[in-house]
Amino acid sequence: MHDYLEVEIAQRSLCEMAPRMKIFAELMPQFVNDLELWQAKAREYGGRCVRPRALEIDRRCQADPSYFDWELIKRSTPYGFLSMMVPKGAGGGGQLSTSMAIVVEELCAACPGVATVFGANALGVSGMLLAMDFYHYDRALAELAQGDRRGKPVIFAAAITEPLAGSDVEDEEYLRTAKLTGEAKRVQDGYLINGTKVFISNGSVAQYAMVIVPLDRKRPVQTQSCFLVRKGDAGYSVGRVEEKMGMKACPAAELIFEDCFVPAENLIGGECTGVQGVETVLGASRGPVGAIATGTARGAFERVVDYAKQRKVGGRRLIDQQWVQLKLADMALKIHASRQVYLDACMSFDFQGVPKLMKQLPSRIILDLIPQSVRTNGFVSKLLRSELATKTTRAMSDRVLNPDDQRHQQQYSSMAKVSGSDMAVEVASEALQIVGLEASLHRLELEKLYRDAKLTQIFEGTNQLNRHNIFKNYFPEEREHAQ
Amino acid sequence: MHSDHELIGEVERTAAKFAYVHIEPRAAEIDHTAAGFPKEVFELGIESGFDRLLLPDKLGGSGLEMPELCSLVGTLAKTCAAHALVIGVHAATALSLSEICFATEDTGAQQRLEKLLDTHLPFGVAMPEPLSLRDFSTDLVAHEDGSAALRLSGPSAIAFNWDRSGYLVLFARSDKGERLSLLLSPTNSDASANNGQLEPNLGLRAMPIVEPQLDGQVLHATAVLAKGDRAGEFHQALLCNLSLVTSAVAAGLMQSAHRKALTYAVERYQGGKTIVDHSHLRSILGAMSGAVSASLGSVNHAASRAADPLAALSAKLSATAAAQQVCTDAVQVLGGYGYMRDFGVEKMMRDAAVLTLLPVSNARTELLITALDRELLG
Repeated sequence: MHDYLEVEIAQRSLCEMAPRMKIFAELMPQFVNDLELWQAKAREYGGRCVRPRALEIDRRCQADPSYFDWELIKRSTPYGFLSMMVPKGAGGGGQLSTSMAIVVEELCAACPGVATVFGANALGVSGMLLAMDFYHYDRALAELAQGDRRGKPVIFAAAITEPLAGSDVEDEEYLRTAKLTGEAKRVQDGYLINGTKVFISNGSVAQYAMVIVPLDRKRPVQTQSCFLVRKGDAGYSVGRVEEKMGMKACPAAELIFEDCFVPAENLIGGECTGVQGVETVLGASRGPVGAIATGTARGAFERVVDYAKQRKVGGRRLIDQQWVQLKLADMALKIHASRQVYLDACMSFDFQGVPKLMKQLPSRIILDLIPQSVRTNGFVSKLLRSELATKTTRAMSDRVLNPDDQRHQQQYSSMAKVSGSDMAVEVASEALQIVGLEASLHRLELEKLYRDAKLTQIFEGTNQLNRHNIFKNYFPEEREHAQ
Repeated sequence: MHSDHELIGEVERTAAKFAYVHIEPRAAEIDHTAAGFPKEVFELGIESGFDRLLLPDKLGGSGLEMPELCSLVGTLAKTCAAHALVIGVHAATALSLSEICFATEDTGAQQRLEKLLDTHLPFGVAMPEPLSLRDFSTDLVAHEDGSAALRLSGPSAIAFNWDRSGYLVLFARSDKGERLSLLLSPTNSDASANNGQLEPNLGLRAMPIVEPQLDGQVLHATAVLAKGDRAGEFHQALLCNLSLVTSAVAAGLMQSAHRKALTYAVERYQGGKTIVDHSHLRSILGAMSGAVSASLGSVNHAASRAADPLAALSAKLSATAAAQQVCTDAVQVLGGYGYMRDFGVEKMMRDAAVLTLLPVSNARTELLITALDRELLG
């Protein structure tokens, strides 16, 4: 099979893939132009760098799940994917959910595992970003941006899941009765974290992990908090790296905390803000997860189209046969529909959610006008994290953010995740059917994409949990009865 | 004399013990390392008489029927679908070969078959796409070069259950376009050729799935099993026997997947209770259980009508599709743990996906079923 990028459908423009962009191009040309630029960068990196390595990485990770292709990630640094969500004022790309989603869709069409490295990195970054914790913008996030500029990748992870608490830690109601191992105790100058996190994407390769634990395990809802832990911190170690069915390029690891000391300044967003923080972060990330699923399906679709154009049965190409044509049409329909759902979620978040606060005058003054060297000054730093600053942010949030918009975002993001992932598994399965037994062989990449697709129904909250989230937010009047 | 029910029970007990002793200790490791054809388990199966289960007395067989073979492989599949299929593909192919040998009253062919069976070497199959009833699409050509030999050229269909030390049933066309079915024997396999080098594959990893490199292979004229219409009939009969075996394996596999999911759901705690107490999970598990029962019914129905190709293909279509859904749901029920190797359900999901492609894909099976239905309609 020749290079699938020669397949015309892999080169279609953003405006054709998402008709709304053609309309926005007239209303917000810069916005669309930026998205097209990011898409082009992702397409180039995906085609030139990722796809040629995809099967080899999958094979090597099968033999050793801790294998990680650092060289491939290093090659991403000129494109700035790792730091694309770091604010421009901190040296990053200044992008949000929509650009992230478009980038990961392109990368997933090349290799979903590699794309998930960037997606999981963004999840780790978003904890600090969406808490609007300027302290971390200028330290950990700035370090990430610098890593891209220097060609030395810095990777983030988000540590939420526990061995006995998967769905439980992603939903406020379920959290009340969760069986947690993690806890942070206040000590002089900081906190001591104990516990275990599991299945953490990027866990074994991350320089920084955003760790969610309560200050009191018996009152997790009231005391859930976010901490930034750095590789090498005493008491923090990486345990086993899981042997996953797919998405092997992104390692999923166990993180172990044994009296891990975290200095007070590495708290993210204030004590006991964890529940709101996780809800916001997942609300931002589930749209891009829908994009991961859409890109995975698209990867399968492009490869099967290429195959069908070449393979002859009974003297006729597969693509000339009606049953194949209608299956391909169904795949195109489903991919297109999922894309619109994830764009709804991402754009809703970018324009109506927490990022709206970043566009307010105080935020813009702090990030764009005050130089980083001044922001990191001890006095200014303390001021930005003071009680006054927190109250101001809260007041701005109450004034600017509409609760109905927040509810809709939760709904749209879970819809994007569920519809995209269910679709990805269906489309990947159909691709196997069109090709036949040869599709079970590694070489065509279709069986790999089938294995990769399944994880999208599980991570970022299982599809069952996400349906629960849809129900609660779609029927707010029934929220207290949701089970 | 045993009743059918007692006989099936005995077969199942024998199979369960065999699986527990010989397959379970090694199935997960073989899947992980994709070590190649499981010679040891296959030979143990030969010793247990699994290979000749359906063959008549005169071939040293047990003279049993398809329901017994389906029970055997279905029970083995509860432990490992791939190992079950290794036994099942061999037994079904042996049956198909005996059917054409005895149908022609060719005593020479019958004797050759007896000798083949006595080698205790496995049968693999390279099954080409069916074009219509009793016709197939193949680019593999067998050229007659004037002597009593045939030279192969062109690509073969993907082969399954083929070990280079064993036999391979092939389908080709002659120079004149006549349909041929052929048997590649180990002595034909050119040791220096890249003959079906193992590459990683999705599932059923204990059963090799390879692309044989047969270009230039020379076969003796006795390698021809059937020509013309007979080759087409043999293709269809083999397809049906393999479909029955595949559907039985699917049924066994999904029983095991459902049980694992249920066991996990009864123990795992989330949302303030064990997950089996969440009614949404009960819906999923109930649907899985229903699919298992329905598939067992369709497999038993098809096995009891072994000469009915429509029943065989329909059972394969429905049972393998159901197995794929049930095994995928089993992974979902186990959540993150289901996606990891340790718990065994991700292997089931992969195995089930490959079952939908055997002996040909479900998409192609649908087309063939309609062709059969249309023929029956007159």
